[in-house]
Amino acid sequence: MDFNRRTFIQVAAGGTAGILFTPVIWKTLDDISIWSQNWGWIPKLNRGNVAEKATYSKMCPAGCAAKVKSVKEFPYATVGNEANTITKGGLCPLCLSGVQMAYSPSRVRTPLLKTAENQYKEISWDEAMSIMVEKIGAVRKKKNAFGVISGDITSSTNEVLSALCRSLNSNAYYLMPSDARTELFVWNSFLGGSGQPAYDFADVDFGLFLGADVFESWGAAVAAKEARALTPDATYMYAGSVQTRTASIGDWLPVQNDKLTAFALGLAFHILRAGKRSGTSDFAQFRTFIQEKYTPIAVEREIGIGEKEMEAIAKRLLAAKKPLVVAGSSFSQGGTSTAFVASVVLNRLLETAAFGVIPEAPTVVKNAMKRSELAAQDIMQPIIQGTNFPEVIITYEANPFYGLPALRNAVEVFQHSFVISMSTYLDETAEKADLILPANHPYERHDDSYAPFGTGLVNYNIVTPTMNSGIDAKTPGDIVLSLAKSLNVDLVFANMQEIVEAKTKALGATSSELMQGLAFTKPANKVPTKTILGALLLKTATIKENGKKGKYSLAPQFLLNIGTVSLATPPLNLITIRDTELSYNDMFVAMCSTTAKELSVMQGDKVRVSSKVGEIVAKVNIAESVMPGVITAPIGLGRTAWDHFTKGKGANLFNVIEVVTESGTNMNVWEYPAVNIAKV
Amino acid sequence: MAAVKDFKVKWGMIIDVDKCTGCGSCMIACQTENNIAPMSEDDASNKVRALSWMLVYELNNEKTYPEYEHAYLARPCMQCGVPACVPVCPVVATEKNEEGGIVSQIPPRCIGCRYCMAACPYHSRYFNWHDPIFPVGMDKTLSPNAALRPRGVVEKCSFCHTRYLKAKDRARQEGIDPMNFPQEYYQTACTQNCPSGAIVFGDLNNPEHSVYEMKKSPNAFRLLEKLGLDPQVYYYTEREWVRKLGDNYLKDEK
Repeated sequence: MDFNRRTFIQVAAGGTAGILFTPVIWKTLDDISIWSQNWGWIPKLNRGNVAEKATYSKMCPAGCAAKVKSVKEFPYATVGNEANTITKGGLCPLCLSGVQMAYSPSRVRTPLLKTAENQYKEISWDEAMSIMVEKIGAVRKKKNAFGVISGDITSSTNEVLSALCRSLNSNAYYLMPSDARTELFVWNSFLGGSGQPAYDFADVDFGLFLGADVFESWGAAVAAKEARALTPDATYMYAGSVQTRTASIGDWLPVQNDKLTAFALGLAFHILRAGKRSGTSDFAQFRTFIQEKYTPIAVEREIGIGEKEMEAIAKRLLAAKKPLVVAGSSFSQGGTSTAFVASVVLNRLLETAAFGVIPEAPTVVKNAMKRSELAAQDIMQPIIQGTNFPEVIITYEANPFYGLPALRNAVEVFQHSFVISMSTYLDETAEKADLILPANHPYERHDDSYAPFGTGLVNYNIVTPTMNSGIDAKTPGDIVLSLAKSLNVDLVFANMQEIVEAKTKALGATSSELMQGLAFTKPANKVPTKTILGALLLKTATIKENGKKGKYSLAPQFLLNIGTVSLATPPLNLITIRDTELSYNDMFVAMCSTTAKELSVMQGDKVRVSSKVGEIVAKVNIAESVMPGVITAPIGLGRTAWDHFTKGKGANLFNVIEVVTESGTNMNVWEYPAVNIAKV
Repeated sequence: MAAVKDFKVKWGMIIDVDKCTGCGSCMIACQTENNIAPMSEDDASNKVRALSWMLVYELNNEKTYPEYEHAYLARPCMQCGVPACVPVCPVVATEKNEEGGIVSQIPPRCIGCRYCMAACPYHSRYFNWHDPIFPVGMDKTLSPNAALRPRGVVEKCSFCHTRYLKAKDRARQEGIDPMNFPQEYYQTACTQNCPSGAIVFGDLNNPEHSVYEMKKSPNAFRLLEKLGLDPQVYYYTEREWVRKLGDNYLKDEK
């Protein structure tokens, strides 16, 4: 047979049809795909019974009631605990990564002693204890030569540490900066209060948020979101420089962050005009002050919002059955006293049931400081003065080498101290510390949480160990109790478990219920009439500028999915960072098109953001969610320690955040840092 | 157009865009439940080749300050009634034939041709460019609910299918009809862990499940509805501009 054109077409067509219709080729491909997926390096799953154990996850500042799910003895997931009346089954994106972070490549695995810059020697726990006893013992008689920096305000570990501090002749106990610390300080020192302000979001029908990113990161964000989910008809207004995540689900009222006090007091004018009164001793003084200083004309001149609009917002507040006003810094730290006081004023004039007071928890460790006493000291004070800084300092759940404003200057102050870092992870502070003690992961310890900032009820939760990563780490409270014993300081308790049990008893809670992850709760107290509105403070507190101010305002954002000051982005959370926040190693600063035009920059251009204290380089993201003259970016990036997932990615905003002083209160504040921007 | 296969049980979601704050909890919950490895070591912030069965998009009304508004839209697999991905798969690695209406994805069958990815208008499908690499020790935290997928295959949201199987087992054990069990028996990981309560999950055909009524709201819509793929994921918003974006209207379209 000749092989001609026709034969060729017949063979080709027949071959194609044969290939299409024979199962052999498809079956072969199928088999190849199956067998090529059976490689040994693909991890295999653990099979067996699934169990759940309740605990309280402390990956985020407020914490989330959680259950750790395990298959056999291997934990694999954190899920919310629906039985908990505070967080009601919700979890933040950090707590969701809780189990995985126990196996983070950044875990500190053994005590380490610094021998030279970035060089460490592995030592035993006994050696570590001897070094601590020697260093602390040498300064124990000197006033305030031993100090503590704490990053977890809710734990009874603060009692152990503060009692030790006092026993060693020191009051140098510092909380890491936060809105919680600011409010506690102002409430207790200037408004005649005790305990801490309570914000009960349940059944709130109109919420007015002044700079506070309530549904993202301010206070107890998960508790607030869960409460909101149950009130579908509630409405919200967010006032601030940036249309935050909270603003995305409510009304956004663009007001410069540094004008929020004027905005709130402008509303107070209308609320007073509607006949609202307060029985506080300084009410008359307050009313006169508002009627003179915050008239509609004066407010319009200052913040650009007219009388009708202000009156309409005041009417929304007045019409609400349970309104709530919340003030806070855009990144939950460095806030002024005035915005908080103005929010308290509005809540009190409105007589809302959403605002109350959570009393101090009973202390169970002898000589321990109460929460208001912990908040009394400002860590920035000795740092700015450069004197009276403790010679030996312990950091607990704190990362000051990453998260203090004017970071370069702050870190220099630590150079003269012997820094002991009790840390779960090799963070920036651990990496620079003289002695690193591996703290166990929050899921591996006994701990507790009393009334996280932003909650609305008296509430108490306990942390019970739910897993064991196999790392030779210890519970921070237990480390301190052993240290105290070695220093011949009798703190009575042998371990944190005993302290948690004592606290449970002192509060009248039921241990078995707490073990199941149920919160112990009681209604918050009403605001006592002896407290004041703060008229004098509002009259006198102003920001003292230190030299020439930058042209633009930086409004950092605290986004929980990216991490906190003390917790870098967990590996699983990297996917949640937007391309407009971080691309490869470049961070973005967002600005609106008006600002970009003024700066002659386009999307993706690199700019240098600088202030008197430092500078960073970032790319431009043009976003109309930012007011003209303002730029924004998330905190939590620009890590210099941790692991390859986060190290060197983006820039640390704390390098450019400058501290200024608020006269009247003498507080150090950095809520709206001024910066200059130049195209690179 | 292919006929819509009729199922007695049709699992679906209603995602309330007006409640979502874009926190990312749903994305993390999905990753832990379904063993999605962290982004690869050499490009930890490069998302071009990352996997995210659930992805939260940021939308905006394209106006300038101060009229600008933004919203967040979480996007799982739409589990389309007339899926575009199924007919293009040459090896039947993706099907829609199980009661419940979930579009399956069977990695051992997948030959990695990625036709399904090209066909899916929702970009819900992801190709494994890398083997699943977990940091040392983190591989001990694998969920028993989803086998790991190797490099070279496509994967996507399965509405946490193992949970569905377990829910049916539970129903049978309790003497309840596995085709008609209470809504809370079967909830996806993203639904369970959304702190805003923005995701509601249930049987779209079951009047006792809340999604049954919710999907009828005039404010409920589906993405790219005009393509006729009959997605089983609905969205809810009172904002008209979001609804318009949902169907990809052209700017000058009347």
